[in-house]
Amino acid sequence: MSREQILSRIRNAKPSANALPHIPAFALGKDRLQSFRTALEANQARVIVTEVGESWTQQVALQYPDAKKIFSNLPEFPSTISDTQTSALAQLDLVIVKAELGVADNGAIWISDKSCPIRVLPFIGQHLMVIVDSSTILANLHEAYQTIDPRQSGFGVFISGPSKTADIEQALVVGAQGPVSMTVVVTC
Amino acid sequence: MSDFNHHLTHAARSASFLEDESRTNWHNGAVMNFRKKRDATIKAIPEWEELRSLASAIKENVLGNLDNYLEQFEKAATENGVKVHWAADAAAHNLIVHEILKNHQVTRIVKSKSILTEECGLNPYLESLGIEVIDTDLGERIIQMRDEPPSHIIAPAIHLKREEVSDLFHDRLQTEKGNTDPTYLTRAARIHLREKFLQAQAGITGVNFAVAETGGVVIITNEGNADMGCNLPPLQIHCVGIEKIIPKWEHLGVFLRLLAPSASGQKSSIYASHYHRAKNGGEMHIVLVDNGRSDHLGSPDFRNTLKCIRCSACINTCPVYRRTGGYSYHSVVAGPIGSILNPARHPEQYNDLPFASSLCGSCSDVCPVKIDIHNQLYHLRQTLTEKGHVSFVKKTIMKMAAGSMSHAGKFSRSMKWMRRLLGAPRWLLYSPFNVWGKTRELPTPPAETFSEWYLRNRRKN
Repeated sequence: MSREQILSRIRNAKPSANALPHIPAFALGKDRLQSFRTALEANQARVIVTEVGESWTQQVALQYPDAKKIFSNLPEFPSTISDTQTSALAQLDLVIVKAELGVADNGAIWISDKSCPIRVLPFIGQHLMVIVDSSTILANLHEAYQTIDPRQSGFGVFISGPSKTADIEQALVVGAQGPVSMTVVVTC
Repeated sequence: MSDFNHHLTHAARSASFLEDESRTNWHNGAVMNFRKKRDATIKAIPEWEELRSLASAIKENVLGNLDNYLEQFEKAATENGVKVHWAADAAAHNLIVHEILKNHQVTRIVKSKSILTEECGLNPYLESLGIEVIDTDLGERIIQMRDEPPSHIIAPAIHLKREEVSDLFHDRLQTEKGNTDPTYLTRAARIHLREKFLQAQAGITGVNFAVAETGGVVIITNEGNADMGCNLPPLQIHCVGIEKIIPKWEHLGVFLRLLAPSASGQKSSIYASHYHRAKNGGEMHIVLVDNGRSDHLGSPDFRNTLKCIRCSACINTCPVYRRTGGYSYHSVVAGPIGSILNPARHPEQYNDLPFASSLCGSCSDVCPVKIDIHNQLYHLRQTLTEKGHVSFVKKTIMKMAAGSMSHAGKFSRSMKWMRRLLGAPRWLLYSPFNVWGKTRELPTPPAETFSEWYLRNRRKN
């Protein structure tokens, strides 16, 4: 009922259509890794770039020495808990996930349920650590949307920092409803 | 959620907002902050103007193909296993949402910020049916606890001071009395909201973009509340105004690059979540809502406003909004864009709003989708006057002004009278009839006009 009503109202009301514009491939014009880091740091994320061939796993203890309950979806660092019930996830000190790609221009990191089947994971832990392979850092969002195939995942998110708010007198507070800190480790 | 009553005009409401001068100045600065951050961020984006033109052209294309894109969206989403619903108006929208909740025996929901559900009055409707609705954006939770509507579309509690939030949280969340530290208060809300997320049986969100090509919806936040709300409970419901459709997946690149800088001055918001299918064992519903939008589309002069992506850039730059506050607009969407959206759909309730503007044009300059906001406001004033929606006093004064300004002789005679009038005693000049003299001094009139001076000094030579 509503459906036909809405569609016919639109057909009677709409103007004639123009053609869709072509979206050019905008160049980044600066160093990818540097831009990626700057953008993430502007959103209060911590960024660590490892040496070529250096393992990232030691960063867990260095960055989060007090973390006990850790969930990781990377084989190099086994989770310290196996219970994935919501009540257990809500107690997590640290979640470690692998990024599918990064965006140099704005520091956004793509994580989808293809690599992270428990969708709430990147949001529910107290802290978040994301491992980004430097070869997956693309120039900008235009390139990222060309690369991501939305049919491959039911859910995907760009994350570019720890959760934050400025809803009380515009004072910036890092750590709103999601993680209170985020560390991005870029492996080379 | 308190209802707005429309008996008081923007000017009357502003008068009470302006009574506290230091608070007005504080509000002006707080909102201006957004504008300053925007300026700094966009300066570093060389293709900014090109992105604006692209976004405007894409939205233009949407207006001319809206029916096709909606059908395409429905088909793609349905193929993804998503249930798509259509609501012609607010009442239909509320019924549909309730029906879904009822089928799942839901009594506790968490909601992330949605101007659309505010427009439809979803919260009071569901609450009247015994469902607990928790708004999870911090600003929205604050005003929900105070039983107030939002005063700004992206910063709903921007009108409140930290002391007021502190008192509220002391009362409701048992925080320390007098502790006004924003971090302390935010952490208290975090604990409170996490409890609500874990108990919720369904999550409801608004939508920033719905992609026709893929049938997915995109939701953008900084707090992570929408993602906690959608990804914990099995049931997720997304409510979308039909104008939020964009044609293609690749268009997201253009709109996402414009939205965060225009809104909060960030290069990127913290979370941009793309939902295409329900989680394992869950259900995903999308409600497409018209509620006056298709009628609005039929108005050639004002349909451009449907391009709006609700970034709030026009609100933040508006000298009138900054100094009169969101509540003066007695509507869910305040500021310049709201001053078109509301009266274009409900002229009888909002005929005062197009006049709440200096027509300076700053709103049009900052609009990321290039809506000619100030031109529409100017045009809307004329349309409302023609249709008889403007007060008798305003009409009479305009007629008198038109009469004297269209004739040189009449104009100079009336100016002479005005100058004499300005020399009247204070008690008469600043009587309650002179609304201009309420908070400002009128200028001291010159002894003579330029023409008189010219005639006296130059003509005789």
